[in-house]
Amino acid sequence: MKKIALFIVFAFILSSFTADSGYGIKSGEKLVYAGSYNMSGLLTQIAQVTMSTENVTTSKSNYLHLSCELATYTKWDSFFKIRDIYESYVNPTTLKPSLYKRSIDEGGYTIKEKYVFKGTNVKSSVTKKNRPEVHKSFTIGANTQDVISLFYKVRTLDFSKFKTGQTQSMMIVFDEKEIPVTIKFMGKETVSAGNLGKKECYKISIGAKTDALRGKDKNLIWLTADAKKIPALLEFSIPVGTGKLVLTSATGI
Amino acid sequence: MGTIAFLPIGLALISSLVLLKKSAENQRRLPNWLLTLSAICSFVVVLKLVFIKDKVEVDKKFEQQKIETKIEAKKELEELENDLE
Repeated sequence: MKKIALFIVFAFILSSFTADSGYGIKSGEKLVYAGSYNMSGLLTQIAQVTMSTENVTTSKSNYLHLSCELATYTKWDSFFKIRDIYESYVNPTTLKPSLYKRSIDEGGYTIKEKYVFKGTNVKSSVTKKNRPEVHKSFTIGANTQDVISLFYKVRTLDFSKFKTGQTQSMMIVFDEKEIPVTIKFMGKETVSAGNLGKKECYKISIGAKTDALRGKDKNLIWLTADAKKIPALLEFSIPVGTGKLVLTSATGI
Repeated sequence: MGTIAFLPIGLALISSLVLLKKSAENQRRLPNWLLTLSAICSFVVVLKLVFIKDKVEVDKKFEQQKIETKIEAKKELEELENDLE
């Protein structure tokens, strides 16, 4: 389950494309997905994933709060209850992160993680169940972001200028270290996008130098081929199996 | 979209069919019952799949945790702003 959650986050980090279409991420957006996992050859719906945005104001600044929640459906709660939250507080214009938080509760196993971004320095604190809090400080590249903010950043980019098969690399922060990610643009396909109906989408493959993802071009995401670039479908392949996330509802877009 | 319930039901259906085929004509009562039961189970699962939508229970503890995390995050952002000044 942890691997699934990890993939979901990775799936939401498509970045590294360069051109900016000028589309900003709006506050009040809510995307709901049905998460399925392949159990003994049968794709079974196990969890709901909700991505949402909202404005947060402090006494000195404004932030966009990006949130990704993963919760198992009620019928699975008695077997293996998951309640995960991934959050990022970013500059509303540049989407550069200031604070990243991750709270995991998977069948009683808990992790709380916090990264505070100060330029290229990151101060992290991690608390795992029955273990003392661990603090670290490390340096990152100028363009390295957290996984959630990168997912949103990719939606501000202009994929129409990319050629099929074109790849690009970049770095993300996950598990207290920078991880290189490779993105491949694989053309266009039409897929079902929940309440948005059938949509032409950009098909993108994600590769990361981590054990969490498996196979070549088996971790895919479809973004609607319009200015909003709503993720309509995600497929993943991880060491313990395969699955997918299907958009069921998109509101506030 | 499948459901994991089809796995045991499918096995039961196949086993019932095999049993029915191997049984003598005057001994087919049990396989027939098993086959009917498997078919009913399959029908119920299909109905459930079509008419009952998956939902996430409103978890008060989780909702409370989200509220607390937001309050905490706001304080942390203000601390960060003070550090950067």
